[in-house]
Amino acid sequence: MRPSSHALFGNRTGMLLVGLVMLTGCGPIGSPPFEPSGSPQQASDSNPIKSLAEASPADPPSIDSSNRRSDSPVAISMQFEPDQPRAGEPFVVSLNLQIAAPFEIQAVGEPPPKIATQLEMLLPDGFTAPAAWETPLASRSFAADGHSVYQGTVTFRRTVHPHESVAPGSYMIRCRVRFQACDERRCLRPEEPLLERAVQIQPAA
Amino acid sequence: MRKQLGFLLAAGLLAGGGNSVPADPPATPMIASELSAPIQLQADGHVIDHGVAWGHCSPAMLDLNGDGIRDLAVGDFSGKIRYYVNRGTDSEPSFADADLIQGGGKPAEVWIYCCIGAQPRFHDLDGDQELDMLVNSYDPGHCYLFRGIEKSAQKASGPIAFAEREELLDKVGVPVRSAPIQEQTYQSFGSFFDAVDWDADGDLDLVIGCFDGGLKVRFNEGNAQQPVFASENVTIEIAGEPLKVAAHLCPVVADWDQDGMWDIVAGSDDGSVTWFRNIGKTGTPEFAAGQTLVGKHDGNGYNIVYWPGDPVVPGIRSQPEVVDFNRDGKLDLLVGDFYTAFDFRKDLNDADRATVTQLIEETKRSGEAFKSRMEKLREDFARRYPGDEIYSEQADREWQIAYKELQESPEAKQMNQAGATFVSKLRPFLNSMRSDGDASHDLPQSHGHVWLYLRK
Repeated sequence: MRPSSHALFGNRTGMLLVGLVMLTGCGPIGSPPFEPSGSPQQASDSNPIKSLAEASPADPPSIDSSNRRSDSPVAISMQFEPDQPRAGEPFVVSLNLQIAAPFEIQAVGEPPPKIATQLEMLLPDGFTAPAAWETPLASRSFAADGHSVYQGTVTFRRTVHPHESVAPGSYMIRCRVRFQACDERRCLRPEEPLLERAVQIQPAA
Repeated sequence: MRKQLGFLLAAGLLAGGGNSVPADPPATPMIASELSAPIQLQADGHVIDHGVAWGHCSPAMLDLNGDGIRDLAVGDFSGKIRYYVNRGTDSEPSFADADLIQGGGKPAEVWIYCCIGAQPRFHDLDGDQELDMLVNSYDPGHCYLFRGIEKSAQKASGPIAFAEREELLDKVGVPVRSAPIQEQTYQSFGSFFDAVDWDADGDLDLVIGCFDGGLKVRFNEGNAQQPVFASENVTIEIAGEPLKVAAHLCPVVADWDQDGMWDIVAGSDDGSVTWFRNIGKTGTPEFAAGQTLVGKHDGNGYNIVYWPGDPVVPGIRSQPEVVDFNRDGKLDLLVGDFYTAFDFRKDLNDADRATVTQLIEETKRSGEAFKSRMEKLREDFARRYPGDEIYSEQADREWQIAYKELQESPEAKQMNQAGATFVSKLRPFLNSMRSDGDASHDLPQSHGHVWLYLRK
């Protein structure tokens, strides 16, 4: 159904930083059962992102989220806590969304026709995330219907478990965030950025 | 971003923020004296209601199946167009829900996720003697053409079918839209289209209704068989000022006063319908100031309280059609709408109703303090940053800080707490709800009807 002739991000990609630069100098050591920087697998996810094949006019961009795209009111960053976890020890992935006023984004779980915020985590082999995302408290929209939204700065968290057999090295954590920013009068085009950041796994204790 | 902030502040659109508690039952909108009171069109014996699709109905009436009797097409928020076949007569229609109109072998569809409904308009744009279907879109706000298919190619008993969707381009290959050169991707969002031979040169030009309430025309520099659209729009004015409605101008070209000159009948975000009489000459139309055919909806259109049996009145986001509905020689008005309303249990007694009413009033009061602070904030910014200063980095920074403080204020917390209480207390009085969520907007049901205003 989407207009095929319109490229959503065609004029934006130049502004995006691809997270691969963060892998520099982070090669794996040894030959463990799970190799670093392999093909990601999708985490068990209680809030799977829906296919945007019909809703998004172009492939979503991959971004390192410390920068806000110039024409998006939402800046996203990804952090790890601890920053350099050990194999076999869980760490928390945090997605920090800064939503510029007067925009707000629809809360997770908002029923249609609202386009709810959705999160998807893509993990390398040997990493699992059995628990769901911890979502921030939603507030009430300033729009006339008062639906549930996130405003200002909000953080989503999810715990990731690297298997103890994971070899030390750099592994790419990817998170896709689908959201739609609206103000009181209009909604902007839904966005689906893919965030990437390498986590440095230390040897198991 | 900064422009958006400035727009919101300057227009005062944030003033009503947070007001999501039920409104009083809306009063019947003012209607022109020449019109009868509105009635809801029915299909299969039931009131047409596109609430499942989040309403925003946009009707068109014409013979779609070639039986010589006019049928009904209704676009809505889904971006699709539903076909209601007329099982009655041309002067006494009786509609039955048939199917979705097809385009290229699948439901004809445009991209809509905010604020307007798909508006189908039917014209022979390419001169092949087959009616084509023009449909607007919210995103990207472009105009889409579903070409008519030869009758022989239609299946006799199948759905109403058009060719696959095409995007209308101008002579330099840019999609026809309200802002030919866009600084922002959303600049043309929420546009509407109709067609008329504006300059009387024998081909159809495009009329563009804009999200901001303005009206533009895109001239056809080709001919009736091969349209070639100019690369610029012409903004339509009245006495040197832009022709405008409140917002979301949804245009229909029709000779409303039947003086031989086509006019513009325009729907609006606020639910009103305005007639702009063409007082120009053939080929050089000019327009008189708008005359209200239907007044704006009383309220914001959300969370309306209708007790069981209460008369329903037209909502917001009016999308009109002009047609001689009953073949009496006078043009009538069809208007699609949208609103949300609570579905109260039918067995509520007077005490229940009093409880609900009190709950509503308390919740309203709890939001007044927040609303007042928001209004003062807006006024303060408008005073300190007059004109284009509102677009400055400093204004942007200050606004974000003030906005955050407001969100975290006791007034905001009070309002949010009251909202949660409101939901838990109101839920037992409801027959059905939109969803199982615990926010106030999860309670009301959405609706979209087609209203008939017969000309007296």
